Amino acid sequence: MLLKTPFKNATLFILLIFGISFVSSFKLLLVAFLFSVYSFVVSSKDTRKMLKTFASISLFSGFVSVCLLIFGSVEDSIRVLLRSFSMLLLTISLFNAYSPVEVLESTMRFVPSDKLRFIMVLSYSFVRGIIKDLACLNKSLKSRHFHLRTSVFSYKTMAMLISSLLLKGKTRSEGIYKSMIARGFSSDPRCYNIQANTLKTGGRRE
Amino acid sequence: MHVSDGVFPGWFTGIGWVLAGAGVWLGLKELEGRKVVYSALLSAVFFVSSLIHIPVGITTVHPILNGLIGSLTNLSAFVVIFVGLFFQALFLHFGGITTIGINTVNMGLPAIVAGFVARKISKTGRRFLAGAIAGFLGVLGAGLLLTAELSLFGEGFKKTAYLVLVAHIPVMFAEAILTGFAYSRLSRSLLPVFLACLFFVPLDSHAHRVIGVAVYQNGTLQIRAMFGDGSPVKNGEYKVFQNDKLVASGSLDENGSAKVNLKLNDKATVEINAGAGHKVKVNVEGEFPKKLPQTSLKEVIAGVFGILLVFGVYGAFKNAF
Repeated sequence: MLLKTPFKNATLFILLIFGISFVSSFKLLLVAFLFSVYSFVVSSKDTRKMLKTFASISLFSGFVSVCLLIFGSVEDSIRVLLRSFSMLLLTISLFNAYSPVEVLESTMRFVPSDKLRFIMVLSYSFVRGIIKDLACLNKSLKSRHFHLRTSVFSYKTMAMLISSLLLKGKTRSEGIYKSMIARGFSSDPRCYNIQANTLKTGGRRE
Repeated sequence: MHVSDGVFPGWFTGIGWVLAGAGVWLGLKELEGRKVVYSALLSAVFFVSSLIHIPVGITTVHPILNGLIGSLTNLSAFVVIFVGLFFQALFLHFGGITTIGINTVNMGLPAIVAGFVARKISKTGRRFLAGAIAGFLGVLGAGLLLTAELSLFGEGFKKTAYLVLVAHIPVMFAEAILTGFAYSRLSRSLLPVFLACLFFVPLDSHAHRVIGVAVYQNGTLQIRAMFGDGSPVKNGEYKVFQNDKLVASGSLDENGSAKVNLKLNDKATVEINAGAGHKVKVNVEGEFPKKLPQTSLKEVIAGVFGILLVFGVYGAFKNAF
């Protein structure tokens, strides 16, 4: 990675990714593509896994560029392909260099709203529990010899599974809300500061 | 359904970010109290549901659930979908970082429309139908928006857009069945809390919570009271108790504050009544005068005689030897 901290690198890469989205000149796109390939190679730890990830996430852009090749012009097709691939390669390089949590922490600094950041943190804390619940439910389905098919019964079972996740999460979120209030946090980030006699933002009672 | 990075030019994704930002801002204004926690939960479920693969014919798809989210929320669907897509882009690399805005708009707008339709239908008692239509409309709307967006960039993109829309038709039906069952179960088991209370009725418990502060300094007691949202308790009543005895009472001003000149000790409490049952009792904080020992006349006389006795005994011993 070019810079020392994850935040600085994430900022640089996100700015690069946004910058590339504005480029339409072939020469510049080619330079961007070469740079992204270079960063992909440099940051690759597990090349096979990274290539798999790249193949799975580039399906839509690949589909669009193939369709453009058939129905539209070759120029448009190559432009979309180069732009999309260079952006995706840069994204993968960034995530390969740092853990997703580090990137999440870095990108969350760009979020201007306290409440939105608060929701993101809470949501992230919920994700782990829900994934565990999902694994348990999947196990119980497998133990009952359940196989997913294109049938109403399968869809009904999956609908019940999703609603179970919501219901289980509801109980957990109620507990989190109560403990949050008990520890002085407020879901409304404005809290009272006795010393300054003012309301303060930040989600924590002073 | 996720538009990938690089398909749209930068200026177009910029418009997507602006529109998504407006939607998220409106959604955040709606979120208060428990709704914040529940929207985080919905975002997490939206994200985790992308790990579930459902077979549709020869291929598998993951549930989109924007119809279900729309039927459980109002404008906050934008917030829920934005956070979910943000996590999907970060952890699963679905879509991309630059297209989070455009994807939020593509899924958020149909979610709100689908939610509105679902609520209308569910009033008639047909919960499965309401959910199914919400699910169908959610995917259909997202597909139509994506088609319209792609069509803006020339003939080649237009034909690609039609192909994308046609490819999503089986997904619409799968999502309709899925959302129909999920909505009918959720509305049955969580109707009193999840739907009726948490998302559509404002929560009084947090919005009207009274926060009171009483500070004693230089012989003056300053009282200030406000509601949970920061608005002052106008003309509320206060009562000051010291050792469980009422020592002062009065009304707060327009700013929800009052100043009272009193002599207090650290056992004083203030009860603030904001009306309609909203009361709060707070301990007075601040600098209190130190307690001087209270001595009675008997104790003083006894003390003097005690000292005289000590000196008398000392003198007697001194003269004796």
